[in-house]
Amino acid sequence: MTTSVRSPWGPRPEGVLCDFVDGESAHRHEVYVQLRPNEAGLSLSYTDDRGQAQTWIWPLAQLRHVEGQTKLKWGPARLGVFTNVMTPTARLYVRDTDMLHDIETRAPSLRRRAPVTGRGRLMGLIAGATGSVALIVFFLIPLIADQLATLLPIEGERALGEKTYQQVREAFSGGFVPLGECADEQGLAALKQMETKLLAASTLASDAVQLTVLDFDMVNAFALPGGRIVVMRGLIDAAETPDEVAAVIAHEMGHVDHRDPTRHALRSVGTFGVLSLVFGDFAGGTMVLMGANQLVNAQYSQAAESAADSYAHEMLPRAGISPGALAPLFERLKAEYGDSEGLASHLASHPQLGDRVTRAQSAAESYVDEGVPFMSNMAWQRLRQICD
Amino acid sequence: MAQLLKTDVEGRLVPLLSLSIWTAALSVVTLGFYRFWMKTRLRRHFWSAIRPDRTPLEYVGKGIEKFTGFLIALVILALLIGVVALILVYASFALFQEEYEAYLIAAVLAIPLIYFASYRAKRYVYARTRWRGIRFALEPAAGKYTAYAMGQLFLTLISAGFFWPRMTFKLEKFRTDRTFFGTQRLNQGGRWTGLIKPFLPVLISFWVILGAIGGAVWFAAGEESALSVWVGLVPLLSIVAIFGGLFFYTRYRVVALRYMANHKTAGGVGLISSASFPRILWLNVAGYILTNLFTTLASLVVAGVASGVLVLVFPGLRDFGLFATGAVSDGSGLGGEGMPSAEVGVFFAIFVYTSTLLFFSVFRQTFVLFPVWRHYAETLTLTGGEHLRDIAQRARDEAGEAEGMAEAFDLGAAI
Repeated sequence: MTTSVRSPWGPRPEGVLCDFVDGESAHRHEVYVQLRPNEAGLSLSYTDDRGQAQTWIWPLAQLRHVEGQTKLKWGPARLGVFTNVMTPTARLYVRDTDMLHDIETRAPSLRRRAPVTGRGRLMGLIAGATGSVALIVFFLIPLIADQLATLLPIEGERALGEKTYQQVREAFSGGFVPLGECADEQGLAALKQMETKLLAASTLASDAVQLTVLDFDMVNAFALPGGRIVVMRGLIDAAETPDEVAAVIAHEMGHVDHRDPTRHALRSVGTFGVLSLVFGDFAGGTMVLMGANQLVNAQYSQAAESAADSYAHEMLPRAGISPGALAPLFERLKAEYGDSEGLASHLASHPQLGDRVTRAQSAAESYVDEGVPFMSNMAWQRLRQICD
Repeated sequence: MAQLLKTDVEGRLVPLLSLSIWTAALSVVTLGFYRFWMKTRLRRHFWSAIRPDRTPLEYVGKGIEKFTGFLIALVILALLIGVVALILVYASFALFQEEYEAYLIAAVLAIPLIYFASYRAKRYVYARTRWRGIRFALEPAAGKYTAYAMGQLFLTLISAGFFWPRMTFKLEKFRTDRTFFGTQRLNQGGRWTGLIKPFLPVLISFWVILGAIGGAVWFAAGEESALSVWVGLVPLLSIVAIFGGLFFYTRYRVVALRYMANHKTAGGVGLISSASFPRILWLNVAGYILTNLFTTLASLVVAGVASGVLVLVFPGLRDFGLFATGAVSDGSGLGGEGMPSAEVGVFFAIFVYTSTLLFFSVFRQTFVLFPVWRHYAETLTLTGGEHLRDIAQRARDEAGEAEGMAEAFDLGAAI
């Protein structure tokens, strides 16, 4: 292929014929390679672009594999690609099996890599990037989300709530059919009764909250933007009196009044955008799953939880329920699942649970029971069968 | 004497398969952070398989520089994506009670960024590609390219797609004319009108779809029920046009690539491509069938093994047998006596989901991307090989941000 200027009548140089590029031009040369043991070097003889005979000596200690090209094949045989640390753009392509074997057994540091530079800069970058992402996620996004949440009109809030509601239903279904809404007619009437009574006792507008029961085995209730409060069937099953359910709902109504779910939903929009950027697209679906999980197990700030508790303690007596109604449910859950093992219920696994029970009980001390039940026994039984 | 230099491809499926499996698995285990090194290894493999005139191409990029480039881009993009997404979603819900508007505006905002990022990513890849020890390079011009591309896109939009081939040509010319091999600048010859003929069937299909949609809207608004036969034909017509459009667009891509290659020169060196559309179509169809088949099989095996582990750990799942993984991830095998908790269920759902995705990308790389890549390379010939001796080395382009920006938009996710 290559037009050689070497005279056909001249002496043929000794050595094995290989391919060689000098890193200076894109012209490939035929080179005769000899291993010289006493000089500990590889001699490369070729004719350069100006027709001059050249001989390069590559000391074996300076010989390197080209990174990522150590295992190349040429048909069934191997192709060795070598370079010299002093001329890192030059390449020697060896296909001769014996020569390849000789080089690889004698050259001492073929696999040595260039020393890593700029480790300090890298560490600085990692620290800087982590810091600013943390600043964005934990400070900037919450700040903006809190501002926007107070500005969002109620129609927008409801639409946002509807969207997150559908997401939750889909995420917890596991299959293709979203999680079922419990819709037993008499049960719904009992639920409506509870909703109306609690709303009347609260400071909220009469259409500010809609109660929904989802057919899922989790001891949980949560509020969504726009005032939808979802009660999982597991909570109704675990409760012994309607007052316990009402007390949980009153707490969630506190969140609705303070617009906590809206803040939370807006925050998660920003946060998940950033997180999926950090972890790459491979985790896209994982993020969606975790996002839905996050909505349900919303961990509001300590202050938000206390505010919702105070709200509940204030409104419950007006509905004829003791503010301490929450305590027995919590204590039963604690006995059943333990403090840390409360996987089925974020209510039970809340870190400040003991505190909250104490505060509920102290709020209940001044409460005088007038003996009027919050809900008739029949209505309570119907509510318990809302998912049948 | 004009030398013709053939391109060989030396690559087998098995080494590629094992390389992509272990790098993908590492990426998952490291929560995605290994992906920069995975890309590096895959590129090295793909590049060194291609040997124009018996000399392998070299990819000398490093995982660590991709990682640092990503960190730099992260700071800017995290701010942009976090805050902009938040404000858009807010505005969209406040004004329209819907979120589609937010996605629409976000998409429009993202278009120039995507062009910007893809040019930068190309610059980085060229700067790390060598052949015969000589570096390739792409001149830094990402901003200018973005503005130019926006102009081309605008022209294409207002001409209802007629100027699409012009955009294809002009953008390729913009990049090619700024590409160097060593000291030699590349040049894109030819004219954009050369691409009109292969694009015509795509354009017709596109206009038929537009017409069908427009017609349907028109009739829905009016009361001319006499033409209801025509309305009934609209869906059928649209489906035929969509499939026809996709078919012809694939063909257009191959033909355009061939045309552009045949008109590229680097001084006295030229290219001849004889890539074949039927062959590419076949490689894609067969490749995707194999990919889906292998993905299904591999996922079943993984789910089976996971079920075995689950049954051993949670005796309550014994009745589900091999389907324990499915039962746990869809929730029917949760919370009972001797059954795992909800958290374990979520974990298994994520596990099944990511491993399926992982298998799909691995098999797609092996059965679709590599064969297609191989076909394009094998059908490529260099002309004027004797002029290669005039091409000298060039200085290294640092391209410090690597492809950090492109990372965010999922551009060239695999290689």
